[in-house]
Amino acid sequence: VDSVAVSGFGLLMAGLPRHATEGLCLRDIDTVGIAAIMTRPQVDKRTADALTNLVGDARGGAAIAVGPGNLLVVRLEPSPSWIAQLSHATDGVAHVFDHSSGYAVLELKGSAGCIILQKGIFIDLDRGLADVGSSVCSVIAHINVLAWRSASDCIVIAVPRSFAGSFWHWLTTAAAAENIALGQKL
Amino acid sequence: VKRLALDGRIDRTKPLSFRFDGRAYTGFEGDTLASALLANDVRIVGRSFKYHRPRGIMTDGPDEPNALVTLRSGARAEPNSKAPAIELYDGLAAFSQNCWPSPRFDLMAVNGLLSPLFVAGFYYKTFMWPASFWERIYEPIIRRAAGMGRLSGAPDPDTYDRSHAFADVLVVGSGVAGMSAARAAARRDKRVLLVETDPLLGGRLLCETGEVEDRPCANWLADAVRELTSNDRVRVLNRTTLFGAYDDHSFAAVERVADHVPVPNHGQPRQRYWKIVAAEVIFATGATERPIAFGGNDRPGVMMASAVQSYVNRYAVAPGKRVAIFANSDSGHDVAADLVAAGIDVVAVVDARPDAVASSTRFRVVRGQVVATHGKSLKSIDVRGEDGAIERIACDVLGMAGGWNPNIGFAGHLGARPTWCETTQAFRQSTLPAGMCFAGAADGAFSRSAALVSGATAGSSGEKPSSLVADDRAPCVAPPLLVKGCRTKAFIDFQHDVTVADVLLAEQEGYKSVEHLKRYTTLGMATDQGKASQVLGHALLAERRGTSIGAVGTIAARPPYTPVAIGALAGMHCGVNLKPLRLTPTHDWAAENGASFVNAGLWRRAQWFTRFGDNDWFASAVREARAVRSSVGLCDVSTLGKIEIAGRDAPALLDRLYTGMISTVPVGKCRYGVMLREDGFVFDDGTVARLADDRFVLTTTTANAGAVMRHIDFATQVLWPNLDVAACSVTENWAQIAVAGPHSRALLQDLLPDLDLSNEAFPFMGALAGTWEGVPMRLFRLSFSGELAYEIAVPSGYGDALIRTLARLGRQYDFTPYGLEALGILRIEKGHAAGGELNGQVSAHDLGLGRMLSKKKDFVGRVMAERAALVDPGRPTLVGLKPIDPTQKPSAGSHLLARGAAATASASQGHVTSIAFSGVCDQWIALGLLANGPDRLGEIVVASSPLRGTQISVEVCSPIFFDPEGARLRG
Repeated sequence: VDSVAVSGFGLLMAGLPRHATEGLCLRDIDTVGIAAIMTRPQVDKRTADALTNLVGDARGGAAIAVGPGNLLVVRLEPSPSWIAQLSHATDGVAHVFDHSSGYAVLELKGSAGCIILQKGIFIDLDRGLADVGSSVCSVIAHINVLAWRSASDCIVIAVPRSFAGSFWHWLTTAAAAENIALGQKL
Repeated sequence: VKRLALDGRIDRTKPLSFRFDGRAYTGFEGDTLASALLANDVRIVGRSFKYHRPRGIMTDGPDEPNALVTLRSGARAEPNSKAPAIELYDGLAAFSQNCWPSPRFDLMAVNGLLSPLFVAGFYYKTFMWPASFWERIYEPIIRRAAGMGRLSGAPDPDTYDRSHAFADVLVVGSGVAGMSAARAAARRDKRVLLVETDPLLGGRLLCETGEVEDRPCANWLADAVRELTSNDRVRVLNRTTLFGAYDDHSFAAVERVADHVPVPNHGQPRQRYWKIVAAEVIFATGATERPIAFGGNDRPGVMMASAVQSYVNRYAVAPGKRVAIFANSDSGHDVAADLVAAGIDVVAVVDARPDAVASSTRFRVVRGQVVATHGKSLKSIDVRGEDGAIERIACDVLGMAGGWNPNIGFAGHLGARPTWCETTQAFRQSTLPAGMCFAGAADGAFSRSAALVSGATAGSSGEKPSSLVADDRAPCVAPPLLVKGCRTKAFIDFQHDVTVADVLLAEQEGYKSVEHLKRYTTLGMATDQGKASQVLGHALLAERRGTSIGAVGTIAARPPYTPVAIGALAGMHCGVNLKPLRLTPTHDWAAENGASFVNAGLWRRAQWFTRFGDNDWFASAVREARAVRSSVGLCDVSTLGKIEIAGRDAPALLDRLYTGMISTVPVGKCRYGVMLREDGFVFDDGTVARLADDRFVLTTTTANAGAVMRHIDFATQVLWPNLDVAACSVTENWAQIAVAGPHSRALLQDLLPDLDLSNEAFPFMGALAGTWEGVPMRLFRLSFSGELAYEIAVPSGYGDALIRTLARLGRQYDFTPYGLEALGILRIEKGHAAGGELNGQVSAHDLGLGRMLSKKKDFVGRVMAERAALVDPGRPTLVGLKPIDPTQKPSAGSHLLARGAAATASASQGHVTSIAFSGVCDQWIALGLLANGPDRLGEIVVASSPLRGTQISVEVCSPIFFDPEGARLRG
């Protein structure tokens, strides 16, 4: 089989220590479903809210409001038919666009995750990422980022795939500036 | 060494070596450069700005006007560093500045003899003639003579960082008011951010003796520090200076992360820029002691009394053996008491108040004023007593205690103007933006007890007390003091050498506003921004004008509060962090195959692929273009903008966006389209593919991907919000590879054996969505090269796998990867407009695309595109150009002139837009925009480049140089 996917951060992380126990543990998430869901103009707010609840059950992912009637839904390890299911579930109410391969996605495990991200994100992360499932949509070093809390000690961050290398440069620079060791979480 | 037996805040178990002007000295951990120099009896540290007068250490903090040094050397040299603000570290090297050959003997001191010439505003009155001397002689001399240190000129080897902080309550300053404010806020369960310039918390508590809440200062402070640092809702940033207050409760600060070490550790920034947002801010910024204007008040050994107290109590250094204090408040007496307790000989406290009384039997109190000082560094002072008699008193240090200026500049950053308070004899902020207050000495609560109450009140409520906190002692209250009858220079602004005489002259010459006084004399314009001195100047101006200081007012403070390195402001936003790069999905493969890359916007695109035998890039590009025409080539076109449009009204929207009819495109087909701007000029071009009745995907040029998306968002959200349509950029989601050349069909058929790619089944402009080995795939039969060609798209994560598979399968067809240069050749051979032609100033008619302007529907730009000037046949229109001499190369940008016409701008009839060497034509070919172009085929014109000095005759021809019938792309 030739069709083997390359993950956004996989090669960049190759040099990091494995099974790290200190600092910030990173995990490249290469199986992720990301979809933009845009409600149709005639859809009333109640229906839109119902849609948010419907797709908000993201199971380790997030439902991120990126604009009026505009959601970005993230699902970790989705089924191959996830996009089709979403389209079916929102038929007549919203339009669905697949972004699953458009982002490089990284999990940051450890309390240092917020410290590092706060260096780049001008949003109060103590509040913005306080609860599991909460999310922010911002910019780090001129790169669009989405971040959400996937677990009490984990934040997941997604950046447009073509920017993965530049984001990695920022991340490693920021970690070094705080003297935070980076390692791989396998 | 003049160390005292006191403990201080230095660690005597950790001695440090340092050098000043090349000489070796020692100090201790906890010292500043200033305290260590004083401990080593170094009294003259530099020379003054204008008169090159010897100057010593005057203060104990960042408001120091005199002891400016260059810290470190080489690329890390930092001029104008203030010695009292430099933490001592082992190996520190500092250098005096503004003197030659040394601070003790400076040849430029001759300026002092010329001081009658260097009065206020002298540069407005001198150097007037001859006019030509100004740039050639005067200005270079003045620039060379001006002081204030020199930059190294070398690139800064260090890095700078940036971070953000959010808090419910921001407390600035950690003196007694700041600490009590922070504690009170923390006890309200607020998120507290405490910012302190000093490495240690405590503010003036570190320098004073006495008690707080009936406990020794040190003990109270230790408990307060413990309480705050053990609370996880409190964050303390020491070595951090807040330097700006801005709108929306935002603030800027700089943290000196590694300024106290010789070289930052690997990855460690030197400084960190903080952007802070806080719902409430309490400025417990303290007060700066005010100097006194008297003759010779700048002599080394004349210091602020509070600084003398600091050096004794905090650093265990005796600044002198015989100390005098000149005061007009009780705080000078407090300092004298501390010095006596430390075993220092206090020879006199000269008190300018007529009702001054002896506060102690341990030192002499003299009612009078200091009128003169003597010695290169201070040896004695002349005191004029109540009876007018002059008494000379020998001393080597004189402490000035002229009252205190509350540090209120931050309110000025937000437009608040201070008012004069008679009670505190200082400017205070009476009206402040919501959520902001001053506390402690910054609000006129000078005594520790008053500051404690003031801070606690602010921390408890987030508001300043409704009235001034009752100050049971207020030892610091004193009016600005200007001693009359001095025969020598009395300085107001020490750093800029502004004297009493300068201020009086400025007023005499009509500069009666404090803002005008500042500009004319430079009072308060130095790196200390007049923190200590300008109130004194304003008091003098008021006195001269015969009015009150409140009526005169004070200047508006602006950020930064203290100087900030440009590098710190940039933070980590330089290089890739300032301008991130976008890599295509096949970047690694391209690099492995010899690609040279070029920046195209933020993208890094393969420009050409070097092969063995290629002499240069030109050879590579021509080889690649030939290979596409003869075999098959692969090119990553993922950078093209890709936008999906979905919804019942998607066809209607696209009809309005494009000049041509899109709604009639059947499912499974593509159409070339042109978009206009509202003004009728061409905006962008690309293809539209219909994937389903209600779903399209369109492509844009790489450069306009973002602009077209914004254009569509504007159309759907503002122009026609009721359309049932949604648009979404999917550029990042899809890797797209052009497969072009006679063997492209065979190659793709090998890749996709289950599809029928025959011309009948999948003709030119066909589109389909399917799978490749189970991966979603889109295939378009499009051609930018004029060859049989396809573009295949897969999710970006599979782009690398796709290109490697195509390359493996393509070996049997002798495939060639090609880059932007070859792409340019191929498109010029086919006359396709691109960046050179789509310059924002061309109409569809200019590009020969007038027939694409539909007459059956409306679209953006239709009306304006039909303006007479835009359809004038005389407009420059797209043509092909071939040099008469095939070996000659016209330059892109050359003007097109009629033969025999003068090479003038008015004679220009157009210009060359793109140029390439065509392998199939075996000569240079070009595209250009030429007036009446289509009517001039066969005419010879001249491509003239005044920049290169070339004049090349070219024949006007069709812009389609190769396969004008399009047989190859449809084959």
